Amino acid sequence: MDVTITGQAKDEIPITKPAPSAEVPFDQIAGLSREGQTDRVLTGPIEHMSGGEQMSLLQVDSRQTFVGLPVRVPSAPFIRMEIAPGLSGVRWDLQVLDQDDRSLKAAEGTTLPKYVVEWDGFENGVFRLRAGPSYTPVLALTDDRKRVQRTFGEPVRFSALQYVQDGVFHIEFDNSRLFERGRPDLTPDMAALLTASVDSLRRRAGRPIRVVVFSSPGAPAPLVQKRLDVLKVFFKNALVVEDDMISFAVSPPADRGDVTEITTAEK
Amino acid sequence: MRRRFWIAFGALLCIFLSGPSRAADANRFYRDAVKLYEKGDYDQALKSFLKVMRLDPSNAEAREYMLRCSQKIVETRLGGEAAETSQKEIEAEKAMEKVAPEAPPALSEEYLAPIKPVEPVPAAPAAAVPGGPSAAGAQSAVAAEVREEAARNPSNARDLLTERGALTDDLRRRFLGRGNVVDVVQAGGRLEVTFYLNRIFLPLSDDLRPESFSVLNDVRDLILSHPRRTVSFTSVDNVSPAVRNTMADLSVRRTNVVFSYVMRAVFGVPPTAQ
Repeated sequence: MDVTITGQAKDEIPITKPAPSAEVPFDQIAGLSREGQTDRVLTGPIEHMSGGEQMSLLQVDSRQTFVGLPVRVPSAPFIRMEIAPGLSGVRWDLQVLDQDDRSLKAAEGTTLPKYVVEWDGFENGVFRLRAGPSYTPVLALTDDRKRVQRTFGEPVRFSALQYVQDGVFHIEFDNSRLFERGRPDLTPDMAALLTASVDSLRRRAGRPIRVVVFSSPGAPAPLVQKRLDVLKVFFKNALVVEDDMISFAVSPPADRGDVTEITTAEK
Repeated sequence: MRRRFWIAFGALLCIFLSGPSRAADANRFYRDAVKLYEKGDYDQALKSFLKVMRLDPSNAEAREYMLRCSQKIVETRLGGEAAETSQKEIEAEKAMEKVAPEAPPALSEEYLAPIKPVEPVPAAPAAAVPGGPSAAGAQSAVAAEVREEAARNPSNARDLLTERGALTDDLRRRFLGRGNVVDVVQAGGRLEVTFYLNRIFLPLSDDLRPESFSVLNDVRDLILSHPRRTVSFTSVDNVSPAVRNTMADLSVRRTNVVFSYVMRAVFGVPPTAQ
């Protein structure tokens, strides 16, 4: 009797995945970034560079890429004031005094917020705050006997601020902070805020941008023009934008003071 | 009538004589004091200048000399104590004295006694000069002026030194320009930086104050001045429990902003697209 026995081999064949060699040159590795996306493309080893320089390569600094700096141009709400525990009144009124002691009508109500009162800077649809002056919030509480109790908040000042009014996005810089005194050069202290403003403009790419340097009364015209030229160079280096999409101008003194204003469409 | 005349005359004479007499005394004491100062007897000179100041509180030169005497006394005493030590230690102590002028050696009780204002001359009867300005009024006005001057100015040597110490501290703070915004401690190979967030940021916000950028840039420069040093960062935020409940992540966001800013600046990436 013939017996045929069939079987199936089930030997396990190990599959190994060898680790890639660590000695592959950088130029043979597909980079995470391509030309046009970053300012640098690795073409060789970087071991000769210091730790700081190697770290700096990780930073994307393209004209098309957001910088991602956590510093922001101050935006609404601009005025915030903490309400001290125990304060109460039948009516509250938050006023903001400027440095000339002029009162800007801010906010009022009958039910006092629990912790914080704040103001976005607008009154009747018009933005009232400016870059440069200092502002002091004053909270006035009126009790049922018409007695008024005033609490003064901490004075604040903005070297730059951003807001949206009538569908137009505004960034405003105080010229005394943005430029060196009596010179057209940008101050190093404002570099971070300028970068933040560029980020804001990148987020609104494709919309026309207008940069206006307002001159202060008595400021020499050549200086104002030179300052505008510095800003031209800065923004043209910082942004990828066609010439007809960005315009620059010098303006005589206006009611918003000695400022530089950058505007673009919000939507 | 004649008796009244003589009383008035006597009172006027007293007023007339007492002024020049005090001035003469002050001048004499002043000359003596200057001589003592030039001889190097600063203790006696200081006593004499104090006498001058009692007689003539507005004497600015005497006040200046008094200040110099106090300084010389302090220096002399420090020098005496340090005579047994090496020259290097003497210099170190002088340097310490310059840094901490608020801790001078103890001065004798006499120096610490307040300078008494000049006693007003007993007032003449109001009717002494009929029709003229009241002598009593004039005297009390002078006394009030003296008292006011004494109140305006330090009354003893310790006050003077304390005032100088306060001025030095104030100047140091202004020179550093930081106040308590950032506290930097350099010890050995370590650099400890403490950020006081509620003074770096706008109230209840994670937006930096305009003046904070220059402070943070200073910190960056300080770190870069010794790149191999160990640096530790600490952030301190002082917000009320109510705000902490309302804005739970405010301190975290503030810390993130400060640390990111400094780290980017330190690692050579300029915070600008330029």
